Amino acid sequence: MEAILATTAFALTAIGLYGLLTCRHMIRLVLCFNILEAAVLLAIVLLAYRPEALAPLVRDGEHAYVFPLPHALAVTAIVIGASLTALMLAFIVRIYKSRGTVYIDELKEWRR
Amino acid sequence: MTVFAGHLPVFLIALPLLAVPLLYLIDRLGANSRNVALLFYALMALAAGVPWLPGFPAEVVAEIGGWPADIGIELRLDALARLFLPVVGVIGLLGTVAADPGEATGPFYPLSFLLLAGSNGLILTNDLFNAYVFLEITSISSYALVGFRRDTRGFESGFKYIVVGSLASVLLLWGIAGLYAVSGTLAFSRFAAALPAVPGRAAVAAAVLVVVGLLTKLGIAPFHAWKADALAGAPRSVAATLAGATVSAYFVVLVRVLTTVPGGIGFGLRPATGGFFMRLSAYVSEFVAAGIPGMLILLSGASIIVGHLTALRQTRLSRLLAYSSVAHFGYIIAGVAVGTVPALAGAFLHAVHHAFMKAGLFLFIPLAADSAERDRITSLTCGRTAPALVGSAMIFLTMGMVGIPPAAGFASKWILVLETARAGAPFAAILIALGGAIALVYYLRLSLAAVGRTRSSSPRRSPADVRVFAAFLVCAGYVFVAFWATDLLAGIAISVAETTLGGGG
Repeated sequence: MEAILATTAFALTAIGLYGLLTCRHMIRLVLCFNILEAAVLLAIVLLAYRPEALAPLVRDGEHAYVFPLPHALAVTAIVIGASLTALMLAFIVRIYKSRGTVYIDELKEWRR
Repeated sequence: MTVFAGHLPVFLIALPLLAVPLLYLIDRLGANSRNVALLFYALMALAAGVPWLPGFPAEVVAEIGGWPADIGIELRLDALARLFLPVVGVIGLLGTVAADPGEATGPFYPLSFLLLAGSNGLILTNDLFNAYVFLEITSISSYALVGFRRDTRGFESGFKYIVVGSLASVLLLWGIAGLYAVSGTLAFSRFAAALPAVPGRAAVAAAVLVVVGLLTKLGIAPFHAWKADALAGAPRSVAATLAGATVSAYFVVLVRVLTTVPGGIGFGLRPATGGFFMRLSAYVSEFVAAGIPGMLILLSGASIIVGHLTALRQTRLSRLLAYSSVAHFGYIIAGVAVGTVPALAGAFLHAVHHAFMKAGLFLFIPLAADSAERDRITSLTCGRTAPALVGSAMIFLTMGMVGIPPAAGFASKWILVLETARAGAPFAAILIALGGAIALVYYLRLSLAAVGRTRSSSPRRSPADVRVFAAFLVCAGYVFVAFWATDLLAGIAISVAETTLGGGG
């Protein structure tokens, strides 16, 4: 189980990085970041995983429970990722309105 | 005093955060939020100086919610924080004072306070994941501020900055997850105990990811390509804040990571020693064997070379200054990488001096250029408010950047050259010294172009002009005073370096 999830996390990272290097469409770049983000989140949640354990809501103190701290980290990272995505999309909307393109290699201002 | 001191780290983060919605509300209600914002920012800059008052404890630890560092988050106002808090506060204040009223509308001041809260948090936190959160608060508000000129160039700069910055954040998060996985802790002060003195491969790989993420945020070659675009597209006052204050906060986190995670600096590993005339391949392999310090010193050398040579080819002042920043952070990282107390002190001193010099030169642009768009070096003048004074202050600041006495940049650079050579990195020392020679060429070109020409058009003087003028002169004044106070400042930097290295190793 853990091996499968860890492999998935690395595979998602590879997909995200490949996409970042090859995509020209800015919204696809944002999606690649979301994939990269999901990969790290998977890895962080995997740190908390214990076999046969339940959610960390201790009532009777008898059953094994997963480690709660990485879950807190993951929730925080999700919030940050959402605000980053929102800001990136806002930039893309503004660029589209002023230049009429969503392709990153058609942006010329950087080369002046 | 003690009761108050115990809460100061919390106030330094909570008060700017509180100002964010308040200023936004004031702005939405139609009132002018600028004066409120400036007053409050000035108070925050003063509060950042409070730890220097006599009688203030040497180290204040605030456990948030009463949880100790192994399960909770700790804010720690130590010597390093005490040195850099006022730098971030004062330069942020100068940048905010100098903001162009035409650009500083709507959420501009709330974002400035978000940037301040994030930077203060970065400097104060003792928790790696908490540092990541503050890093993102700082970065996201700076992405938004870079796009604040609301023209095409601003948006495109902002987008490029956000793409590179987010990639750095992902690397950093991977590294943080890895360090947490191998050590079981996130507190800086606990890494040394939780990891073996010679860390395993997984720990080193995780630490390298964290360091590379932070180097990208700092703009060290080869991760520097965003810097010129971001700083050239940003409003000038924002560029001054980013190039002076925000990078200082990132630098503090880098130092904390390097001095607390085994395999960083101060853990017995040193960059390569030996003669300069060895074969290059042998030299490189020796750096690689030295682990993270070796990697840092190679990257610092690359930054110095790439930064200066690219700056030489720039025709726009903002891009020239950005590439010069790349080179200067190369100097600073070289001092950090060799990891001796005096070299680290030199790096701290140069980080502080560089922050003021670079902020000052970015504030020179609105004084010297006719419009925000035209910062071509050949079209610059010395402005219409006291051109002789502005010109000589600008030349003085460039002397600081090159490293000519009596400007403060000379003293810190001198320490860096001496101490990197003494610690066995003559390669770095030679590059730092040679870098000054290249910098002399492009800063001379700037001085020759600007001096002697006053602006003839648009004789009306705006109040914003006076504020930029004042902020610019404060930076130049600091660089002048700091040179004559070198003994005092170097003593402070050495005690900070001793505490920082002693705390980790």
